[in-house]
Amino acid sequence: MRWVKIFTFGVSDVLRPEVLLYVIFGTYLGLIAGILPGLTASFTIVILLPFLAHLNPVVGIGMLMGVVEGGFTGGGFTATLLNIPGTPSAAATALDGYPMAKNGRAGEAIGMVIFASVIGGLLSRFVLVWAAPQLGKVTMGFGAPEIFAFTVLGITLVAAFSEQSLLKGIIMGILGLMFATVGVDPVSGLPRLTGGLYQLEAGVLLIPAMVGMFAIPQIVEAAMDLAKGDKLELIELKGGRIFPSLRSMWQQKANLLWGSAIGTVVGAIPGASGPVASFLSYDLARRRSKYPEKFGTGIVDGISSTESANNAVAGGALIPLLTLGIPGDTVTAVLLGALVVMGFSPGPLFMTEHADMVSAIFATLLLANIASLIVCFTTVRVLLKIIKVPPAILMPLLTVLTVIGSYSMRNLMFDVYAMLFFGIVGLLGRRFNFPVVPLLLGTILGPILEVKARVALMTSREGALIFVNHPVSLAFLILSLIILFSPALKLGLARIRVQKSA
Amino acid sequence: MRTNVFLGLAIAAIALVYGQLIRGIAGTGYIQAMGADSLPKVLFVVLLFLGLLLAVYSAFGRHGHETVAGFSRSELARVLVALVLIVGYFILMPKVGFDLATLAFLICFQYVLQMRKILMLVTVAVAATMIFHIVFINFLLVPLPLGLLRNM
Repeated sequence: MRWVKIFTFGVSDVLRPEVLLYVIFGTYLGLIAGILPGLTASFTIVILLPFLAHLNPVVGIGMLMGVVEGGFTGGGFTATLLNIPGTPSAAATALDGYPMAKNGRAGEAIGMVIFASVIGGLLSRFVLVWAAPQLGKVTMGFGAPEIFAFTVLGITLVAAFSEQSLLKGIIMGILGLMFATVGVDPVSGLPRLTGGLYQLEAGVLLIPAMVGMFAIPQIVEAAMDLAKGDKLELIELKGGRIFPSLRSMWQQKANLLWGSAIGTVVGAIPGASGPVASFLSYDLARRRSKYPEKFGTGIVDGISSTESANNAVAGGALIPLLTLGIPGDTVTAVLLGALVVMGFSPGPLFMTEHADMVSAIFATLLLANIASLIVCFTTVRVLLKIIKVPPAILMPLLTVLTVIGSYSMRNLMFDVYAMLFFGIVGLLGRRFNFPVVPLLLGTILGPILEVKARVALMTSREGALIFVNHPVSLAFLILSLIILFSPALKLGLARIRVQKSA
Repeated sequence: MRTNVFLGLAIAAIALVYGQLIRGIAGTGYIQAMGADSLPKVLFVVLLFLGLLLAVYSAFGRHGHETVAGFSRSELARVLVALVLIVGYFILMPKVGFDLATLAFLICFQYVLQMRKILMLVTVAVAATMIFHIVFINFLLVPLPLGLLRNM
């Protein structure tokens, strides 16, 4: 029972006052980010990252896990009370949450959002704690050729399953790899593509790059929307009970279990996103229901199924991140960057090389889940007042924080300009359907890909054939090729079918 | 359709610029091993190919039907105003210092974002600048540029 050992070790490691405080603080920040339209958990993580980089890694990770947990839960609040999903995956929650709130059952709806989120989160965390060490055992034996091939597969998978086109996803992945080639060559130690600038010798700094890619486009797009003068209409959360009754909780058991299972599985597929899980779960709940016609009119089943799936995605997405170094969604892509900034190298060997960190992640996730339950039910009414803070005040303040965060890494204005550069790249990407996650992944995984390829070639007697002669590496490369040519394969198959039917 | 053709060509142009930049990187001199120039060369070729593929595919194939948000004229104007403000803030900061630049930036950006309650706008800007100064410069000791206030 290795997973039990890992988990109990983690619990003993994180049960310290400072970790608990940071987890609770992170949960609050995540909730606020989820509640405020325009902010997301990934946005909050990139803003916090420069300040967390100086903390003890367990404390920093604890806070990040709190942000993730709170961010997913808070997204459901705005979906219910404003009909604006705080996170993309909370969009399905609005289908029944908003009509419920409009019918004067806002408290009940919010209560189910919290409860279903916590159940979904808890169940997916247990799957993560059990599954990750099993997968870790498999990846432990990977050498340089396997890691190289797997990195190629990872970038291909994330690019392919991005919301936009495969071609544009791959282009962004390649651009990310190009950014990763800037700086001192990892093998020879000679500067490469630095243009004589000493600031570039350390390569592209992840923090300014991440802040730029994720925060700046969001701020600029918020500026675009705000300048239009759109107003938000909030349904007030009046007095009365929020915590769902035991009967109501028991009635939702099937929706909660199915939602958690769907969320965990979808989350574990790299590139598949939260909205997919919550809409799938919503659809299944409607099909299984005795009263499918009531879905969309404001029933609790619509919330329990979507919110449990939505929060379970976070746990599922951590499985490929921790065992293989491939993020399952945008939040885990940002978490991957955070782990690298904190001095870790996620990948197939992460489970063995940083077992203590993995234990801490498991334990803090569970802690964040419990913290979220307590924080939400005790302070939800106060927290919801934050929606009234005008974004016109919030966005400029966040811009200043991004500047301080990027500057404080090396005390260089150069990093602030680098942030702006990546911000413009990210903004153009968003507006022209070029997904940003493969860009980030290429930037993070580029050095690993290059070093492993070169190490494999240096130690190989058969040259480049080493990647083909190792069966695991060959399998990963073939899989990458299949994914790359999947649109052409699909087209070919469709033509054959048409010819056969004719 | 035209947008994606243009984007594909822009990607190809970026690849060509990258190709020019990597010409100076010293390689290993023999083909069996990977040198510092190997990965950049592969990336250059792949990106050039993908850029041209996107352009051609968009002109004649499925990508031509993809809806691209892009920027409308009014959106572009708003984006440019936001970007000009942010860039202006960055340029101003080393010269006049973090505090003055932040104060000016907060006032201007809030106004651009339709905040018309002038008293609130100024109060938020002043209070936030003071809090940022106390937390980051005095408490966390981040050496943010002091500019004109250096000798005060």
